[in-house]
Amino acid sequence: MQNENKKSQTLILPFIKNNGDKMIRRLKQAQMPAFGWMFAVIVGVMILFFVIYFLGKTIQTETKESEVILAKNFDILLNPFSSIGSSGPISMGKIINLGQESKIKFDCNDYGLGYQTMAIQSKSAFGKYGELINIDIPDKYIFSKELNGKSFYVLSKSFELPFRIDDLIYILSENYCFINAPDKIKEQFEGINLKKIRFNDCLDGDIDVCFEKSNCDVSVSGSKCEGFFCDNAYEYGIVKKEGKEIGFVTDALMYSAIFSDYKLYECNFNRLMNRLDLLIDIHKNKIGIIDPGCDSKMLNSELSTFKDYIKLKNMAQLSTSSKNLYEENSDLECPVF
Amino acid sequence: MKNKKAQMKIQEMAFVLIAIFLLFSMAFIFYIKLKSSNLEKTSYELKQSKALSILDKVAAMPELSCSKSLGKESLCIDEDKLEAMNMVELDVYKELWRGIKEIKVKKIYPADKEFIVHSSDIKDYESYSSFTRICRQKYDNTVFYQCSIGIILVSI
Repeated sequence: MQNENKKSQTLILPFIKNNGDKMIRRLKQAQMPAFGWMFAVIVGVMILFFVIYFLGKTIQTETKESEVILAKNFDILLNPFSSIGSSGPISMGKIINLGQESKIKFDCNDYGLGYQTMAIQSKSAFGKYGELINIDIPDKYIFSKELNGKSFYVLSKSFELPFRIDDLIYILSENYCFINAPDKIKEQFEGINLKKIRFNDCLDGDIDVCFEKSNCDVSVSGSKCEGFFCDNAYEYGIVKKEGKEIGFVTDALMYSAIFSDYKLYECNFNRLMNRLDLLIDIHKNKIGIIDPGCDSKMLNSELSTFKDYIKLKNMAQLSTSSKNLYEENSDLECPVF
Repeated sequence: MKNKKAQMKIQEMAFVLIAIFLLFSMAFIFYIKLKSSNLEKTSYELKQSKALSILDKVAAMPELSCSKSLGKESLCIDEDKLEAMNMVELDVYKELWRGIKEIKVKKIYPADKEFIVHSSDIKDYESYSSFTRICRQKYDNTVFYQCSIGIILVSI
């Protein structure tokens, strides 16, 4: 047995010795294609990963860019609505089409002259809403609820108390129905082909705005302006909606209270009052500079009284004081405003 | 011989990888260049439209515009108000003109006078201007308005 084992060992060992290196080389060669494949797959996956990541980032940046452009353009498109400077009826009513389904929300800060922020989010080609873009709008007074849609109705009206403070912008995306509206209000919308506001012929889904009537989505009541020279239907009053009572003075602020949400109205009202305060100072300074031939100094005390009422935010007092100021200014040989 | 072949293959693969990397990098750089030039163009156009719309806005600002008592002629800038505004702390208005370098109103004929409505330390800006009427209330037995030609200059 032992001899037989020795014999086989003497036969196998030299064979292994001779062919071992070759076998290892062959085994390594057999592993090479597998390594080549693995390497190709890893590099391929890495390239694919980078391409997908890069494409994702690019789409994200493109969406963000187009949204910033959309927001900036929207702000620029609103500029003509805030620089008309004409008094009387609704001075401008137009449709702004953004070209893509968008969600717009306004916020406001009332410190000093304050500013508004517009958060815009638009639908991409894939049907999803993109990133929320915020831009600051310091030079406008926009009254609106949260907006949803492609096109929006934009109206503007000059706010005068008694001199022009600025043009107020109203943006609507819902339908409104004015019930029992005074003729003055109907006149103000004449010439503007605005399908979003109906008078009396209400449809389902409309927001009902009742004048001197209750049990509506929004009810308006107040002191009407009587007389031929009235620019406003209401001198001051209250708008009741969503369980809240919102005070207003002049028609411009009445529309603001109707079309905007409560928080935005309050904030923009404070901004407007701060602006009015500064305008009073400018008018007072103007009285000091004006040609000595023009004696407008008697307006100074009325302006000071009016300035005091601004802080109280009493709508009736503001309206009366503004009327007094207007009359005194009209009586002057050189009107200050 | 076989070792050299394998080395050649590895070198080949490395070169292919470098070539792919270079190709991708070049495509990326080209894309970035194109994108940034497009962005610059869009930003310039946006700035331009903003400046042009502000030119209209400045003339209609209640702080500067002529009084309503002028009637149809009230589309002008009130010189008294320009001076009165300079007496108010202009810093309060900084918030209103955020992003704008400078707003100037210049009387060019007959007299030459300049009023700065707003000024900030923004660098790299462009100026746009439009003609306007600058009027002042005068009294000589009756009230009248003395007007001159001016320009509104907005730098953004």
